[in-house]
Amino acid sequence: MTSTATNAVQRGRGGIRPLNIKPRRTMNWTLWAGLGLSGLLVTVSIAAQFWTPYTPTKPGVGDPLMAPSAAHLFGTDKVGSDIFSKVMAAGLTDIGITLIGVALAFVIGTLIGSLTGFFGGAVDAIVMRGTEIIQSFPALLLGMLLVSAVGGGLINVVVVVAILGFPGYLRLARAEILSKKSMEYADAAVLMGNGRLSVLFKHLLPNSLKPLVSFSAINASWVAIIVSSLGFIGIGIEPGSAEWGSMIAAGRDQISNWWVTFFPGVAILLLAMAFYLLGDAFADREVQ
Amino acid sequence: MTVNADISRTRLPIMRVQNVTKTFSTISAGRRTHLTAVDQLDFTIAAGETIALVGESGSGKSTAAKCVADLLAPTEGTISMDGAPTIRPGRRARRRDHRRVQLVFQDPNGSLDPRQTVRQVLEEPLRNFFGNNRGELRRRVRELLADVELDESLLNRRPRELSGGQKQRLGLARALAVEPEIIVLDEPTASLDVSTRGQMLALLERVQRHTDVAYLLVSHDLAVVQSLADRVLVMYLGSIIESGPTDRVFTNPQHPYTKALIEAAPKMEYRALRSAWRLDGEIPSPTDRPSGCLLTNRCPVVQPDCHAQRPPLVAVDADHLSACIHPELLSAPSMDARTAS
Repeated sequence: MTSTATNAVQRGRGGIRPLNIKPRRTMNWTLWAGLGLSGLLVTVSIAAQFWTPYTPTKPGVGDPLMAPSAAHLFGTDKVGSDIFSKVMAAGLTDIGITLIGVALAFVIGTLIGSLTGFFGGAVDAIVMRGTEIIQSFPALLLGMLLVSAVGGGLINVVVVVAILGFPGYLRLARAEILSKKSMEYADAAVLMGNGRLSVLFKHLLPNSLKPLVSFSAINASWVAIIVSSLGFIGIGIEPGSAEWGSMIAAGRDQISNWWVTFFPGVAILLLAMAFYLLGDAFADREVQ
Repeated sequence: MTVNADISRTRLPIMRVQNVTKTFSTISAGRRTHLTAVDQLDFTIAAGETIALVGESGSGKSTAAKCVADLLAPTEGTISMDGAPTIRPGRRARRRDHRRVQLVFQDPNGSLDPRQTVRQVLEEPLRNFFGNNRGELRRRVRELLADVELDESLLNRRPRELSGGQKQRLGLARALAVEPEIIVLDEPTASLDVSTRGQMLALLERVQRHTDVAYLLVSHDLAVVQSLADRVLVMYLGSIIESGPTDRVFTNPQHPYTKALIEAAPKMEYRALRSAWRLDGEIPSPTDRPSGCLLTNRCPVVQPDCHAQRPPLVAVDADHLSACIHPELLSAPSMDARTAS
């Protein structure tokens, strides 16, 4: 690369920056760590559906409360199930609920937020007050209330997680659309014969997605913790099933047998960290 | 541009702007105030002609341009094309009108969707207005690029990969795509380097010769106005204070504001910069317009009777109008003395 090429400067809304140099390379380790970690977790969780060292929820594959060993890497719980197998198998539940919940919240929140931001008016004001009401509750408390109202189970937990999450997407999408709405390319799109909805969905929304995507990754790490918290309290997924939060709950009275709570806890930590790293990496790219 | 050219353009106006007023209400210091951006604007545009709206920033020229392009609805007054008002209920009708009046934006960075390629920018209006025939789209896109002298190799570039001049040409091509009768040019060269400015002006003239499109040029750059416009409307604080054929307004301004505007333009001779025809102070707030002549607080030759009432536009000679009740003071010897000092 010659010096003229690398020094080519581009002027735009992002200020002045070199064209051919990729400055994000320096920050890329967060992206690769996030991708690697989430890739590992997803792979293991899917693999667990086909193979685990022991049947995950079967009691008595070993003696109760065996410490970690070569035969049982993470030890066994009080009914003698293999914790390593159970942690593997639980991954799909936690990751699945998190991803589907985040996807639902993303779609619903973005759709409503961009519409109300674009059209404004009374509906916008009412929707904003609504999101404020939802967000004024501590998320876990509201989650507990909703789950105990509608009952536990996979689908209900997913829906509750989406309800907890969508106001964040709604407000972000609304703010993005509000700032894009006054850009001249919105006026230009009108002149080019677009109706109002196609100005919104063909021009403004696609230009607003980046911050929403990085928010969703960070949001996913929060959702993962909410999901396992609900499991821990014992009102989400049915207790005793392969879910990291409820595994920790099962080990609550086993403080001296640390491995019962430690390994599912590490799993939750890794999942939250994977999403967080991804979100951080996306946010960095967006700034550049 | 000359008087002869003016006589040859005796065609009927295609657009008539009548008494267009645009006010905004704003809340400042807790009180609702009305801001008059454009006050009783009145002019016509004929096919193939170029009309310039000139004035400093805050004069309301951009608001007027947006009203003409149907991006803002006037508070009062009507804008009609061939006798029919441009703003009609229903989406279809609005679409048709956008086909007739287009706008080239001042800022080519903000007015191009950063995600669209050159091809997509040009295909979008063609699709929306003329349908989806692939072969036809390709042919028209290529034609449009040729019209604005852009290379076909740029088709898959995005705005950030184009130069300022290329972006502005793309903006013009996009406006031409729907074959409009009027194009509003909002400071078409303000964002360009001096070197590309001349090319853009030449291109605009060439396009007009080929398509007979009318331009409404909005600019504070008098050199641009002088080289493109047939007629000039000088705006100050939302009102037209002088209008007429470009050469007559420039050589024989009849309003102190116009004279000051012309003399304020940088010239080659250093002496001209020290003209006494200088407006002191700032343009007043459009929320608080003077009740008499709008220029009273800045005019170098203001007289007591200037405060009495808003002077109407009166004919100085054929189609040269001015809203000054003391045009004789513009060439007063006392002023020449001030100039010399």
